[in-house]
Amino acid sequence: MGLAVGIDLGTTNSVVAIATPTGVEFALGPAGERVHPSVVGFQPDGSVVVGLDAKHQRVDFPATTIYSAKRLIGQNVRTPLVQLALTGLPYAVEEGPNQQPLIVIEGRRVTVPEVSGHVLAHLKACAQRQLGQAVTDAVITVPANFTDAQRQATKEAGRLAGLEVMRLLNEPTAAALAYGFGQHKDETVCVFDFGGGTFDVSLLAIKDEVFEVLATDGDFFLGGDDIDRAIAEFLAAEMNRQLRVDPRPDAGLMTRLAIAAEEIKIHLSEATAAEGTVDGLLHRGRSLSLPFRLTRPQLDELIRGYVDRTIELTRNVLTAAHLEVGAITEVVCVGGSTRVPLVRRRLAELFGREPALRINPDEVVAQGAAIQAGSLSGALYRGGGMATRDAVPTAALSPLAHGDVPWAKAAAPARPILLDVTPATLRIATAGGYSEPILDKNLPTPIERTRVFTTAHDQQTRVVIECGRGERKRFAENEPLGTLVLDELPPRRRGEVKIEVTFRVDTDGILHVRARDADTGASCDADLTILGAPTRGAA
Amino acid sequence: MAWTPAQVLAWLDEVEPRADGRSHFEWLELAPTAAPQAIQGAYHAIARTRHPDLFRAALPAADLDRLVRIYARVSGAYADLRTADGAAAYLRRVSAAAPPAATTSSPATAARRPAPTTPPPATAARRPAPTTPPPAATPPPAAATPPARRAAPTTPPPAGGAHEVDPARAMNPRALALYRRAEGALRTGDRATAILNIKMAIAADPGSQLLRGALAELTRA
Ligand SMILES: Nc1ncnc2c1ncn2[C@@H]1O[C@H](COP(=O)(O)OP(=O)(O)OP(=O)(O)O)[C@@H](O)[C@H]1O
Ligand SMILES: [Mg+2]
Repeated sequence: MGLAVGIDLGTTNSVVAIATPTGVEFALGPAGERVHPSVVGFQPDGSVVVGLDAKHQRVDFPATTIYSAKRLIGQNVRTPLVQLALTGLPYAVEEGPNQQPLIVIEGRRVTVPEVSGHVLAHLKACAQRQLGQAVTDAVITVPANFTDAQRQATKEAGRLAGLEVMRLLNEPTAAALAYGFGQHKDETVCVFDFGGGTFDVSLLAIKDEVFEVLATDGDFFLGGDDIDRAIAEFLAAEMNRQLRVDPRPDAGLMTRLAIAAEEIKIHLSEATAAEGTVDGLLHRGRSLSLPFRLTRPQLDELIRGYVDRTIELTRNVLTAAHLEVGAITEVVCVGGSTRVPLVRRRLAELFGREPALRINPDEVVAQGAAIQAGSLSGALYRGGGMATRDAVPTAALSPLAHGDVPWAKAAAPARPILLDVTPATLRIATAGGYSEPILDKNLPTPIERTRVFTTAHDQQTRVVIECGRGERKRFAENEPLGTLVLDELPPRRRGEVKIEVTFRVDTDGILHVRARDADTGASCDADLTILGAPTRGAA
Repeated sequence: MAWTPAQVLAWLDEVEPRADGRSHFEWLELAPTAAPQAIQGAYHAIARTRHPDLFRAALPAADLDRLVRIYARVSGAYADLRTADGAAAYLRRVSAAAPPAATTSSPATAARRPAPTTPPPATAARRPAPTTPPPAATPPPAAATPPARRAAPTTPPPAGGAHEVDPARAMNPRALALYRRAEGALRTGDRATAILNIKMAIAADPGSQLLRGALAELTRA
């Protein structure tokens, strides 16, 4: 086995790191960057560029430069939310097999796991270059509320990049691990992760080496991208008003405005007003300039709905864990969007305390992933302090690059234990359009539960078990996961055949379903074919 | 500290055949008397010693899979017991399913019951993690046994002798509290509440003959 790394595969940015005995080491990109943009540029000659280079070509080649692929990964392309997101994208997306989205690049169809696979391959190459050794294994982080399809698609991306995915680790859990590892803490922390595309909030009890998630909640369609879009809409309206040009139907103009929007947003995290012009707006052969002015209170107004939602979800998670705000000993901010002043203010109001400052919101997730990768491969040592914000060696200083790995000399390996939970209720459809939960939300994983059901009709010899995810009693209001069929049941009166349905969620958070005829023992074991998930050899 | 792979395998061999019959308390290696505060510590103690992640490299894939499945059952038990509401609901569920017993008794006549012994839990309970205080009234009855040499599940207590017995000695403290409530309810003529409390007491102490007898008497006619 080669080295095992931890990867934060983000919507906007990705980070790759490895645990060494002297601290967590980040693998740098070609320009020395620690944070790698999750952007893939497809070139006319068939080659791809990834990371900073791809980000730089985004304005010039909007239709072949794919960013925020994580928003589409493992999604059912027919869901309304995805359809909404697609309206703002400068690249074309089609429906592929199993309702998965396919990205169309100059006539070629590319799956979303392929795109993310390119990002992962780039990160792997950066790590191999820096460490001078083969990287074969990885722990990859995902938002805690990712669905099965999203998890499976992420695993597929890892496989395409030639990585053995040792574990899919929930991002807030990774952050908590980086925060608490090796510190002998006895705390209850709130991890608030507001990134580019997703929002997660988790509460964890940290008892020395045990990290137990008490409850988690989130929204995988809520992030900095939405803030950018709100600002871009504001700029588009200004453009329409001032220049009498509606940029909305024009992907190139909207990309330009979205990039400007992000710059304005970041500026307003420091300053109270942003004023300037957006140049280079190409319209009918002319290059236009758009003057703008946006104050922080205006921005706050534009994004209030999004921030309210993060606070509401945070309250929900406290309720779910039966905890009062006073029980929280630390608030750990993760993700670039936690730098927005309104977010910080609302969080401080809720908890009556400022969030922990010594955490680097961009790196802490990868750091936790690296620690878990080390732990799973038995190569994690307490060493000279694995605490967050460790001094990080640069490429030239990496002990690994010199083959000088003092692990053998170190003490017994450290084994932090991560206890995670199910992010949503998993249920099956029952008669009359209703549903029954098999596994509730926020249950410790891995977990297995069996419930017994009976047939609904006389002489019924076949049952179709429809599985779904969500909190609603009516089955149709939940997200469909897939179906399982149990055939050749003995023909009996209704209610006489007993069917045991077992749901098991594994350590990656992936569901396995088994249905069994309780009398004959005939069973049907299946990993659901989940709608939106990749099918091998699809495109 | 993590167990050795051999210890884990011995544990799997022991629990797998009876996996479906184990109570939540057995999965968590707790006495049914365990205080609510002991639940989390018990789960953590199992996680520290036997979490599947600890054996990713040390066990072959098939055994690791067995471990995940068994550990998943421990998680299921913890999920039900970790909150007060969940634990109460679990106790109601198991008591509803408890089979009626043959002996006769009622709380009012309980002073003349045969002598039951408080049964040890079917599995040797490991102590909760040191960070968790032991349950207030009764400490876990059995000390940690090395898993490779664990005793077979103990047989049910003998059906009692003939001498009179104090209810306080015929059941564990949690069951006793419920039993006393049943007595109170009976004094006010509230038979339904008495039955419910006896059922819950049986769930808390399934081995108590006195309780089973009391239930049989109360539910007759
Ligand atoms: N100073 C800042 N003020 C406001 N927003 C910022 C700032 N810096 C970065 N961001 C925003 O943070 C987001 C990126 O955050 P991050 O890198 O944590 O996301 P990610 O990990 O790629 O996404 P996710 O975790 O949702 O998949 C972007 O939307 C970016 O614009
Ligand atoms: Mg992130």
